[in-house]
Amino acid sequence: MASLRERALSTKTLVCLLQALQERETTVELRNEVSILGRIEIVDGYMNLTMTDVTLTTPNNEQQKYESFFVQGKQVRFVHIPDDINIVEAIKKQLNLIRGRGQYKERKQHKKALAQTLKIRQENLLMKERQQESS
Amino acid sequence: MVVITTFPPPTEGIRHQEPNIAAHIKSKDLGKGTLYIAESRVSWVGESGQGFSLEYPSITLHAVSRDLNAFPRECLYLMIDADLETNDEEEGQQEENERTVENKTSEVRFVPENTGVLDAMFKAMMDCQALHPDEDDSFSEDEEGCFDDAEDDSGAEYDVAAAERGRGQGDGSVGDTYYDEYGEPMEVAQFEDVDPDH
Repeated sequence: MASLRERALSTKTLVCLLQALQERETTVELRNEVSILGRIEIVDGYMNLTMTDVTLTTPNNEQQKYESFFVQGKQVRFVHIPDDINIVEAIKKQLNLIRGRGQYKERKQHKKALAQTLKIRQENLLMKERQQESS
Repeated sequence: MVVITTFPPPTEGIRHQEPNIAAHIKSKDLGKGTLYIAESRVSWVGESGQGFSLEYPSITLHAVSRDLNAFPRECLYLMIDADLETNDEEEGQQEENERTVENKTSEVRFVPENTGVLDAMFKAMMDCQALHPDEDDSFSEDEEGCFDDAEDDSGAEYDVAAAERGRGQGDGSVGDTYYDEYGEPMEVAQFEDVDPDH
């Protein structure tokens, strides 16, 4: 995942669903009526698609084959979701991948440690206050 | 629009430079030249010093073509979201009428002498394309602010089960704080529009 912004786009838009299709073969239809059948390799946060072993079909029904293929996200009209994909599950799985649970736990532990430190500090302050009061 | 003209090659942000590249616009062979894949644009300068530049937003797609039935040479194929003007006036006149009705797309092919460089050219263009996201995308401008919290929302995933548990325990009034599966406090108010029976 490249930039923070791309990451945000991936988690807050349905781009994450398309990212769940990485390494799958499917059909993508473009805004200029071109249709592409191939294996999806990379979907970035801007919905730019990188594909391999592509058969491109023009509106005139001519077919061309391409080994590597890149298409701008703004040109994408439809992406066919294969029938066996459970959309909700796919989104959840992808979001977990993007967010990185490990990283999250680490931050969580850091938060806990910080809270602990603050608590101890506060207790120490209270003790000092009491000591001053009694003396 | 892209016009064939005399211009100096780009000097900044060049990701890939390749000599001995034949350029074809549609079916017109422009001869050999040098291809510059720079961060701002793709430029080709022919041996005569004439050439053309393509801006990334106008490059709908690019691909490595090794299918010799489609084109007799292995090449880098570009589909352009614009009509490419060539200085060939006769041809220009003839095509003028067709152009107005046809979809405005053009094809450009860069044919290297050494086909081994095709993948590197493809990769360089792909990296540069990523630098030019769609500026018309509503997310790019109008909703800029909604991504400010992108880094901090990891635990804020909505969990129906946790929400239900939360509702069962409290009176559900606005402002009650519950905890999600990670122990992150969350406001009940954010679930007000959720149908508990759903």
